[in-house]
This record gives sequence, C-alpha cells and structure tokens, in this order.
Amino acid sequence: MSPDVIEQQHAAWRAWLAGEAAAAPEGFAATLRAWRARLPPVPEMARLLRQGEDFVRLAEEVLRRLHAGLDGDAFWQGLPLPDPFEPLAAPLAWPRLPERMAELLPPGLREPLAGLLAGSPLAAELGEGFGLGRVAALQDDWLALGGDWNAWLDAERGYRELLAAAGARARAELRTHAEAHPPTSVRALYERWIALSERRYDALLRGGDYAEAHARLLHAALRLRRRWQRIAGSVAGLLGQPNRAALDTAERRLHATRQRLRALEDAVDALRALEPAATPPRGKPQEQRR
Amino acid sequence: MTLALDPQAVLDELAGFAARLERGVERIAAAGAPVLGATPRETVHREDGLTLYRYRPRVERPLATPLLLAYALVNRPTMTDLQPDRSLVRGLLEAGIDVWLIDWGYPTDADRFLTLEDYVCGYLHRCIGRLRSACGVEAVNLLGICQGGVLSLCYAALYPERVRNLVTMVTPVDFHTPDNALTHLVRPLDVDLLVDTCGNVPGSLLNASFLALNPYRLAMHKYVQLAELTGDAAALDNFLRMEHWIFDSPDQAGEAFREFAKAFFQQNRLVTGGFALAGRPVELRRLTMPLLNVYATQDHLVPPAASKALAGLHGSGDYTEIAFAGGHIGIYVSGRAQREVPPAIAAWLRERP
Repeated sequence: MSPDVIEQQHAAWRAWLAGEAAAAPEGFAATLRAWRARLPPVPEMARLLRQGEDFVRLAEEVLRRLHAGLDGDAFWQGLPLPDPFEPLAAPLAWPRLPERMAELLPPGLREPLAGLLAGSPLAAELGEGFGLGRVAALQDDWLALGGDWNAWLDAERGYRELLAAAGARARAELRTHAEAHPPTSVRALYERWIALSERRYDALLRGGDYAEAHARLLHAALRLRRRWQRIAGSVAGLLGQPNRAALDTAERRLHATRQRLRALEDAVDALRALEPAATPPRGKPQEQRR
Repeated sequence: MTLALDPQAVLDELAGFAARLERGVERIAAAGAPVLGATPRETVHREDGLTLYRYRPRVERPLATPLLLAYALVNRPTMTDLQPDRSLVRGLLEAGIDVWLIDWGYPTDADRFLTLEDYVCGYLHRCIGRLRSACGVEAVNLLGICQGGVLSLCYAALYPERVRNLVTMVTPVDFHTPDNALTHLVRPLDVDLLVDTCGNVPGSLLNASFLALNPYRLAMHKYVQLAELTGDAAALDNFLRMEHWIFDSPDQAGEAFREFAKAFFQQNRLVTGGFALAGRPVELRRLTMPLLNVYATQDHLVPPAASKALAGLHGSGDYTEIAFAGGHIGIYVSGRAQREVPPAIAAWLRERP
C-alpha cells in the first residue's frame, strides 16, 4: 500500500459520498488486509495492522450507515465493534493443529496428511497395508478424538457466549452513552467502546462463571492436544521413533544426572575450601558448568 | 437517533488513519529489531541456561555489599535495563550500588523437570555463592522482582545467614486477596493436566493470560493508539522495545511451574504454611534480616494487598514499605520511577551496610 493508493481510495469514497458513483468503493479495510498478507512476518506490524484494520472497518461501516441515513436500531445493529475473542483465545487454538501441520508440508504431501488427520486412511494403511499389524489402541484414540473434539467445541462455544453477553451489554451502554453525548469522531466512539467494554469485561472476569468457562476451554484444548499426542506417539512407535513417554524418561534421567553432577561439584568445592593449598584438579573451569 | 457525525469528516478521519497506519508500518519495518539491555556488564557465571552478570560500577567506590537482582521466571530481566533513560539497573549503579543480575534464560525440553528446589537451592544458591566469594562477603543484598521476589523470599527464609538485606519489588505474598484476578483464573485450573500435556508451559500461553486481564486495552486499543505515535521516532522506539519485551516470554520449566501454581496460586502456602524446599520448611518468620517491600499502588497483576501481606508474616525487626504510585511495569520504566525507585532502594541499602 502507498500514499497514492490511499489518496485514490479517498477520492473514490468522496465521489461516492457526492453521489457521483452508484456503489461504495472497495474499502480501506480490504486493502489493508491484502497488504497485511504480503508483508514480512514482523509481529509488531501484524498486530498494528490487525487492530488498525478493525478500526478502519468500523469507520467504514459508520460512514456507510450515515450515508444511507440509517437511524436507531438500523444504525446500531451489527455495527462491527472490535471484540477481543481472537486475541484471547489464540493461544488455545491447539485443536487447529491439523491445519497448521498441513501448512508445513510441501503441496504434494498435504493431501495424504490431511487424509490421515481427517479420516485416518493413512493410519489404516499403516495398520494393515504396511504389514505392521492392527493397533487397537490407536484405533481407540481415533474414535475418542471425536468426543474430545466435540467437548472442545462445546467449551469454546460456552466461552464465546460469555464474552458475547458481556459485549452485548457494553454495546447497549455504548448506544445509550453515544445518544446522550454524541461523539465527535469515530475515534471518540471507539475510545468509548474500549472503556465500556473493558469495564464490562472486568466485571465478567471477576465473577465465577468466567473463570469456570476459561478453565473448561483450557482443559478441553489440553485433552484434545493430549489425544493428538497419543495418536502421534502411536504412529511414531509404528515407525520406530521415540514417543513422548520415551522423551520424558530421557529428560527425567538427564535432570537426575545434572543434580548428581551439581552435588559432586559442590562436594569438590567444599574439599577445596578445606585444603586451599592443594593442587587444583584438572577439568573445566567452574564458570562453565554445564 | 443517528450519530451526529458529518460523513465527509468521517471519511477524512478514515483516510487520515489509513495514511498513519501505512506510515507506521513503514517505520516499524525501517526500525528493525529493538535493542534491549543498555548498561555495560560482564558475564561472571554460566550454568545450564542461566547467566550471572555483574554490571560495571558507575561510581568509584560502590557499596561493599553487592546487590543481586533475581527477576521472575516469566518474561525477561531486560525490563530492569530497557534503555539508558529507563533502567533500574543504571539508577542503582549511579546511586553507588554494585549490581549483579541473574538471567534465568529460556528453558528447553531438557529443563522440563527442573523444580523450585533447583531454582532456589540450586541456581540461586550457587549464584549467591559466586557473589560471596567474588566480593569477600558473608552475606549479600538480594532484590527479588515479582515471581523472583517469591523465590528470594524462599531463599532468604532458608538461608537467612547469606542475605544481609532483602528487597522485594511487586512481589505477591498473599495470593488469595480478593482483588487478585490472576489467582481467580488459575485456581480452577487442572495444573497437572496442563503440565503433563505441555511439558514446559508455553510462554505464549502465560503471556496471553496476562493480556487477558485487560484485553481491550492491551490487545486492541494499544495498537490503534500506536498509529498516532508513528510520527514520533523516540516514542515509536520506546513502544517497540516494550512490545518486544512483552512478547519475549520464555517457556516455563514444567515441574517448577506445577509447584509454583499449586503451592502459591492455589494453596497460598506463603501465608498458610506447609511449603518446603529440599526437605526444609519455608517459613517467612525466619526472615530476620532488614526487609524493604516495594509495591505499586496500581498494580493489576500483583495487587498492593498481596505484597503488603508480608508485613504481618516476617520475623524482622526492621521492615520498611515503599508504595510507588504506578503500575506493575511503570515501576521500572516510567520517568517518575527512574527518579524515585532506584534512589530510594539505594538509600535504604546504604543505611544498612
């Protein structure tokens, strides 16, 4: 995007407002979205653009509604006031693992993997076609995955509903407030939305329902992730690769070995302190303990 | 009633915002990765992922007793030395303190089974041993920050003879005060399910939990405001440094997280008792050294009451509180914090050499 593009869009919108064009031009928000997709993945830029785009979408919709002369419910209903669900729930998006895994693969391999994850034909092939024998536990896990998936969907729906209810109350308050004290700009409207929403959200957060819904969502996401881990572990086992349990064992032993090493080093230090004139032992300098 | 806004004015506002957004992105791209950590220092000791630093003194004769900074395991200690004019470390150095700092590093899968005992009785204990031998002192000054303050309280209660003075900053002691929103979210969690599934607990998950306390302001509004900052290069740099710090969230060693979440967030063991490390009970009444408790009056993560609870639990005859009028982060980076906090800590330490 460049200043020229913005100016062209500005001119097109002006023409539309003046009645010189029949249809509203393509929105700034759509241009920003397309631009965001082409930019290098710098997180700060992505966050700025993502939220900037939400503000722009709100401003465009206000403009369309003002131009159409909408009033009352017709103006307020469905106004795209930004909501925080995605920022809040993004770290709990492990259930979307299959889509992310498929993205990591070259195009030729995506379909077989998608098949494995969606309907398990590759798993069946592993069990029968490769002569590795049926793996009942793996089949059970595939079946249980559906139940875990539904539990996660339920939990996510419950969490969304709580946020939406708080959002609806904030929306009603915004309308009342804006009609009593009209904002002088879209930005002023946005600022009020943020302040009112934060207040509503804070009240929600401190109540019992939110903590329960949040915990339920996290637990459901974890159980689903765990099921995926079991399935991946079973497949890894069929292919002779270490699974999570094997890695846990190795990491536990590593930790115990490190603790023993530290104890020995401390004992050596204590002996050195008792005999300061003794020749220092050879080996790594203590600054580089690893 | 329709909003009394002029469509032409709204269009101009919209185009102006889009133009600022465009300039903001260009400037962020041109700014490159922010540089954090401004004050010269030397690496004194490395152990696993941990690094112990000693900062170069900025006065000719610093206080003989060194001060060790123990930051939280969540987020990075760069917050204490973000940039030259926003630096707790620099402020302490300029006030004549010999400053050391533990950087806990980024736990890897190999660190999954590290426990709180490893952190307190292992890493922290050995770092303090380094300070003692390097400076020729029996006991050091210890300054624990947030979660690092909890670790420091545990350490000082177990090894009081090694801590001459203890300073806690924005440190939770009573995790069950009614205004503690973070505890409210953590209490119903199945911590075992979390750790057994994830191993190390993802830093991104913890960071999201902190942001989720004020999501409209911290995850949305802040970036819309950023568009207004893009004409001010210094303000943009400050923003990017802070942003980098916020999202630089190390994963948490699974076992240590399990213990911390259960013992403190869920069971409030610093207050109720019954917490032990290396087979020894951690009892705050064993804190007999001088104590300075610095808290922030508008702290949304560690409410003042959670910190002030220390007043009723310690065993010291010399207890001081400092209330900073600001928030959990502002206490390190605001302009007023630079003028007030390091000089106050340094003066308190100088009175107890």
